[in-house]
Amino acid sequence: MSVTFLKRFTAGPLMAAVLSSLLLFSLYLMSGATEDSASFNRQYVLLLITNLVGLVMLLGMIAAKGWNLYRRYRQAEPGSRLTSRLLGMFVLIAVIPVSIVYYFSVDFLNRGIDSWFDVRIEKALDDALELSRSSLDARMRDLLRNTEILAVEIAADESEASAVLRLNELRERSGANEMTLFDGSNIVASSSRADEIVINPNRPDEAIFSDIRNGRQYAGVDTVPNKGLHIRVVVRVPVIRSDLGVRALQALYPLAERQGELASSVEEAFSNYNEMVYLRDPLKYSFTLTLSLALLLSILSAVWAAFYTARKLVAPISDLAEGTQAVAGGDYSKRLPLPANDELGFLVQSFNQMTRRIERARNDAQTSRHQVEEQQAYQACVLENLSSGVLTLDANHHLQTYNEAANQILGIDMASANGQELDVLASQHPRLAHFVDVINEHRGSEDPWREEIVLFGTGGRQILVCRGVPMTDALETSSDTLVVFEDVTTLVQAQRDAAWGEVARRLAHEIKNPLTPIQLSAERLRHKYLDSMDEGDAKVLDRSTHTIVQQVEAMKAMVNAFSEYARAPQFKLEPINLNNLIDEVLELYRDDSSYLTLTVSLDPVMPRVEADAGRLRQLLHNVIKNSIEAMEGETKTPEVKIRTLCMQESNCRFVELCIEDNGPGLPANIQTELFEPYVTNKPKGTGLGLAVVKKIVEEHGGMVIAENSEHGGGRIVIRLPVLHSDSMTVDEQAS
Amino acid sequence: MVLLLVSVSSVNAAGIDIGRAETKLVDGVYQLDADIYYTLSDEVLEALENGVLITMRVSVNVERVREYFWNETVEQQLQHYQLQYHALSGQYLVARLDSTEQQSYLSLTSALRAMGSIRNLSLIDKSAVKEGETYHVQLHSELDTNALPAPLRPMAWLSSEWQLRSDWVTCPLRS
Repeated sequence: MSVTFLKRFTAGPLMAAVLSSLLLFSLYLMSGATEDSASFNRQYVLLLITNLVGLVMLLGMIAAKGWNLYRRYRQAEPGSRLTSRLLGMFVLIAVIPVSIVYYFSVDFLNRGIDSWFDVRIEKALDDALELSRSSLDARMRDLLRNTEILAVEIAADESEASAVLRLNELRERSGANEMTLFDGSNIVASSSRADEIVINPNRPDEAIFSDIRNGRQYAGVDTVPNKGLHIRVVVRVPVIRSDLGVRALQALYPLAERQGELASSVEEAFSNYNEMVYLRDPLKYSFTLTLSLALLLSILSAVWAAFYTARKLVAPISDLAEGTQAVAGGDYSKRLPLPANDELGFLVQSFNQMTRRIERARNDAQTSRHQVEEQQAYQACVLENLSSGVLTLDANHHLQTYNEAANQILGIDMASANGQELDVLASQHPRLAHFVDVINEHRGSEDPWREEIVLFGTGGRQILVCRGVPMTDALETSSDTLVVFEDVTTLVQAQRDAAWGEVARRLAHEIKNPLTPIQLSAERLRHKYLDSMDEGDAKVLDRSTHTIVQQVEAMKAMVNAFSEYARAPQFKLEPINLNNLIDEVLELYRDDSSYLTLTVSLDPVMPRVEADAGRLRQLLHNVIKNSIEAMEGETKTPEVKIRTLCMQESNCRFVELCIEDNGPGLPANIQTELFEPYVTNKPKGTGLGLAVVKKIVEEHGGMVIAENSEHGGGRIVIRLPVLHSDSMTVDEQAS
Repeated sequence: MVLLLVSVSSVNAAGIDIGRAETKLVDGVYQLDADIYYTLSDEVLEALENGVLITMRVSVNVERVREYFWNETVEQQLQHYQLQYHALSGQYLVARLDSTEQQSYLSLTSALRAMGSIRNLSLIDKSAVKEGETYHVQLHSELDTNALPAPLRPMAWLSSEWQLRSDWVTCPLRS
């Protein structure tokens, strides 16, 4: 936590503010120090170092921020470009005026300092000093002469003691302040001072002593501590006694009060002015240094502030850019942090509102799309499982949708025609031409229509009931057509069968009743009148009654056949082995097999079927008889092939019985109505044989197909369902 | 020739050298005699000629030598010597700041020599010195830049011309 705080502190504006104010304060102190404020003398270096360290820190922070910005710029992060531009602008705005102020300040400073100095003043001071010197020179010469005279007097004294006394006297007389006699070793021999007892007399420079030894005298202006300017005169005392060595007499003469003051003043003024002239460049240097530091500080602070401000300004904008990118990328859950309560804040708030609304709208759209999809799936499921065929066509009669039932009913796969014009279907499958024509006829019709369509194909006649409904949407722009059709072939067939059954039953009932009285009456007529009639009439009667009886018999047989056909099934269902049954029935035909060839091929793995054995026998007889009759007179080697097969198709197990002859095949004109009652091409046939076959097959839940074989003969294929338990057994056997 | 130049330049090289330093016991007080050779740089000379007061600071420490610890400073003295050019008389004035002593010299050489000649500087009483302990005296001299006029200071701090200082010289404290 403390690390985070530290990081935030150093990165935040607080740090910069603290740093800047610290630097400003130290700069203030430094400028104080240059103004000779004694209290800051020692801190000057410290302040300078503090300033420099602060500047370096600021520079480091700026460099870090600059590098960071550069990196972001290179990575094209949102907001980095704007930040750079703003930064550049801020820096420019800050740097240019500050630099101008700096330039003029330095210039002004230099001029200001230079204006303190004047060549004329300098010259005047030099002259004043020179004047002082020359005025002092004259006095110095006088004093030197006087002192030389005094030295001669001192030389005259032979003893040391008298010399000391003489020194006092000479000093007072000459007006000197201090008079000292140095012996040959430059040690003070005796000294006299006006105001006090001499303990430590003022010593001249050693160089003066060597001058004296070399025969030169010395006179010069000198400063005496606490006493101001004096004229120092050192002269050699003439040598009288060789044992005393080279002695020197020094006299310090005070200047006249006024003269001394003036000379001091001139000297001080000259000295101060000289120092000031000398210090001119250092002064400029230190001012410029302070000013430069202040400039650097200002610029760096401004740059730092520019960084901070630019980031602060751009943050919501880059947030917005990021948010917009997110929205463009499909992420509507993005919410931006609210900046200050200004225009940008309002913008961000609006953005958040917008994304919230978009998100809600998208969610709603998704939900409704899901619902629609579910509904579509549901409808597709319903459509797929409808027993009716369904097609939809668009306004141009292009096939749009179809269901599986449509495929099954039409016996084609419409996948290839999907999206194409309906006529394509007709060209691909000529059998469906009528179907397509009927639909096309109603093209553009605004009312629902209904048609019954009969199609002919290899599978026989097919009757479709077809309904068309124009579909208009709410805007009534499109005019799609919905076509629903059902295969009613079986239904129609069943209706026809039922009608025939009814006809047969009524016929049998209505016709059979009067037949017996007719027959009996005819026989009675014959009995009664045959014997009593003459031969000619008797013959006529005999023949007539005979015909009546015979025809009535025939009629009875026919009525019985009808009756048989129409009879309600009285089943005695039992599991039977079809192979055995076939064998039994065929036995009957083997007797006259001299002319008929029976080819039997029975499936050894034959499950049992649940059937009425008697009815099945009748079925077999009917079919075989039908074949034999069909071959009569048509072929010399009639052959009937009988074959059984256990088959499985689409999860349905059944027994197939196939009876094939080598006769002329099925007549084309009655092929489709072969199993209908009273349809025959034989002169003696009742036309009920195959009708009964079909009836029996249907009673057993099977189906029958009549077709021509590849070799030209007719073929009847009968399929019967397998007993359920047996189907399992066979399965096990097979496995 | 090159060797000569080098030696000349080394002689003229600005700096402060402490040539001799020794102590003596006079009347129960240890006194220091030392010779410090000042060679002023051109910058300093120029300033001096223009009336700037040059201050030399001489630090003298008396330390008790401790074998396993830092030496203990027993006595610490700071002497300030001021050198000034007197334009009117053309002489150089040398003054010790903590006394009224002031001496004028005709040449800079003699002024510098006089300034560097430390004689009979009282250091410490004999009574303050423990028997059996080893003491030594540390001597150091430098140009006091803080005493310069304010405008000159920043330059003096930054310029090596103004950084005149001697090494610390150690001499034993003995009678």
